[in-house]
Amino acid sequence: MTDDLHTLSGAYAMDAIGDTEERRRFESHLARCETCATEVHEFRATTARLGLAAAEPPPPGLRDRVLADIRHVRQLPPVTARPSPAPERPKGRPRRWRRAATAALVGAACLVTAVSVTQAIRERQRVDRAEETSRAVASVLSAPDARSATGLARGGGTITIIASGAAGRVVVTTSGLRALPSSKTYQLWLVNDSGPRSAGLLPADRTRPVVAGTWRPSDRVGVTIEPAGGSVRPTTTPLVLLNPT
Amino acid sequence: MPTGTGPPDNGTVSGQVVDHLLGRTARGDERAFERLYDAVAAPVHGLVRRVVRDPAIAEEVTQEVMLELWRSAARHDPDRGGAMTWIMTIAHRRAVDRVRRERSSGEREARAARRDPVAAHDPVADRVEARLDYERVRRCLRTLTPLQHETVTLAYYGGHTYREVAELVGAPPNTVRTRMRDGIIRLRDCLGVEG
Ligand SMILES: [Zn+2]
Repeated sequence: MTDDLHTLSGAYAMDAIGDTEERRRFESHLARCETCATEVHEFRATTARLGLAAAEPPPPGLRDRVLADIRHVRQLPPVTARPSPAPERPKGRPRRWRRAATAALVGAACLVTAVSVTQAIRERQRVDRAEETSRAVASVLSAPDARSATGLARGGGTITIIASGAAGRVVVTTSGLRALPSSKTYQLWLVNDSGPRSAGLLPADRTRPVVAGTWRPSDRVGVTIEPAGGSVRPTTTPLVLLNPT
Repeated sequence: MPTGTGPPDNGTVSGQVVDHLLGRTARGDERAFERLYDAVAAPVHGLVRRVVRDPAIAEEVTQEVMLELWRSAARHDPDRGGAMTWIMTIAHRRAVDRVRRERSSGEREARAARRDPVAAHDPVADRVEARLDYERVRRCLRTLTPLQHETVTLAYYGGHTYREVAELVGAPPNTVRTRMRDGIIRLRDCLGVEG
């Protein structure tokens, strides 16, 4: 019986248990079964990928309606009083990077005595760079003139940019870009009337946003595929050219 | 560059940015919500549209989902996963609820499906396959067995319950739910999802 319930984790993660009683029974099992809880968690992250793959912009008028509507929708308060700190996740799965960076910072302090000093320094630099990116991202996101754009790249994947003239920077995030052979790389360009200028290379498979400068309000943001190491000028047609609005 | 650990955070449109924007939205920041809209409206709408199919209903549901994000942003617990997964989970559930209501009010579709199972599911699966934007997802879907593939796509994109899927594919419900689970496990491993 319990074994039977385990096999419902996939259906549950896809909202495919139609029978209310059956769903309730699985949920009470879920509350006690760590295996199923982990599975449902991972399965949802997996099916979210299927969802993302189907991305399609909504009708343009919807944005204004939603933004007008929220003025009439009261926000729920956070669920308060979480008992004790959240339990450690099983098997030290990689957490999202911000928390990992904080942990590494604490870890770095311990390393000074525990391991070699060089290693500690390397660790420390890694954290500093992470923190620096994080600060740069935050400065763009919170800029009063921040604007954004999202586009589908030719050949697959999505690129989102958020830019601020005040911060002079653009934050670029990608998802689902095709992996390239080692002889090729994605390169980021800022494009205006005086032509394109390189804003650095863009790894295809990364969790963190890239922050590039110096972005000016007249700049569009493009991505091309270039030979490894990058090019001085674009040598291929942009996969996408975004104009933040 | 901070050490990259594994694959992108759920392969999300903008992983960390979406996390950040949802966090600010939770504190009532309307501009952050605007950015959040720009970052997630297309994935939300695409998924909703796939499930409910009718464009007008899809637009309605997308609107509901976006308002729900505004309303419940503070309820997202970052310790329990990325914002994008949370958002797509809400979108899917809303879409499925809606399509089930439509279906139960008009049983016609279900009956037609029983009469002609092939016609009922192939077009959905084909359209989905053809429209997939991500090479990787497409490639991973191809690694599933035919029954895994069919059960996963009918449930997730088609919004069918596993019992409905069982009828559509003509297999016992217990087999179907096992195949669904096996299918997602295979996808999870192929995509390198880390929860
Ligand atoms: Zn279980």
